[in-house]
Amino acid sequence: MSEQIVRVGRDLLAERREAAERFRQARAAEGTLVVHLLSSPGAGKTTLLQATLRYLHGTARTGVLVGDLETDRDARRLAPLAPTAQLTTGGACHLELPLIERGLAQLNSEPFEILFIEDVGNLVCPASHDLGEHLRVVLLSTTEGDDKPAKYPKAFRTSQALVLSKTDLLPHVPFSVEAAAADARQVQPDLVVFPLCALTGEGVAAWCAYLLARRQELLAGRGSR
Amino acid sequence: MHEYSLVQALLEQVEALRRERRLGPATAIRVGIGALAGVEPELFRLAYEAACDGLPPAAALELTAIPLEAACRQCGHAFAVERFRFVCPACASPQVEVSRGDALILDSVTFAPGEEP
Repeated sequence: MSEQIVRVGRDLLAERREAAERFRQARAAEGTLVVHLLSSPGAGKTTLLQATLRYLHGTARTGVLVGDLETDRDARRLAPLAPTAQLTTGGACHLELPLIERGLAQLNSEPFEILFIEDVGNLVCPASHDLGEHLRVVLLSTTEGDDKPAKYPKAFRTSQALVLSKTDLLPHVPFSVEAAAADARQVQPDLVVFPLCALTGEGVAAWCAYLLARRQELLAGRGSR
Repeated sequence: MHEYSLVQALLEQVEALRRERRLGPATAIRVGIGALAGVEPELFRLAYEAACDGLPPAAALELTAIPLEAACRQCGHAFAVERFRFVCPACASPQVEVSRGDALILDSVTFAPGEEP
């Protein structure tokens, strides 16, 4: 017998993607819209979630899974607003599906209408991992520079919506909403863009209306990534 | 640095192939890294070396770059995507579909012979 070459030609993440697809379909069957938020550290994911959960209070049953390297600070900020599970990655730079499944089981709740997943602050690694979400949203804050989409193409290419956060700082920073949106649409032409300020509430209503509309689409059996 | 997690997926799949076919240890592993795979080749190699440290002689890891290619949904033109600008160079439509280069592909694995029955 001699050496044997086995040809595979398969995506290394194919099995994980199939598992994510099963999770996505199971949540859809329960009527849960899964929203995955990603951004660099400090873009305002947790603050956006605080504003979103407050706005949706009484309108939609929400739950949150929040990833962090070490602390539970983000979870403590969100827990008063909605059932929240902390997913501590112990230094890993991104979330993966098994952590999501464990976190959801930990919440031990009847199905949510909208389940938010806040990924670890990082625009690189989370972009390559399907968490079984129906909607991927990338945040870009006005303090980061409007040239990020071209620098981190995968995060923007794989998202369906772009939140431009901290618009209250626009008078003070060299950031153009138009330039950032145009740059992002070069990478992903179908991006829906939401300029907003979670602290003042500006733009939050339009963003929440979008989420509710996406959930209605999901219920009608049309929503998928 | 999620390359370590990807290396774990790689090693699991190589091991599954080996068991399935009752072969000997892997001697060479060929992996294609798409330009939009979100994987840094040097980090992937370092993660592989770290994962194999202390194990039986590790298989040689061969990495090749897969360029990013797309096809236009409007005019059908196939083209190489430059600098992540997803716009058709023929008709300027932004409605393009990535056809190659967005994944991490396990191309092939070479195994030593298995034990004689």
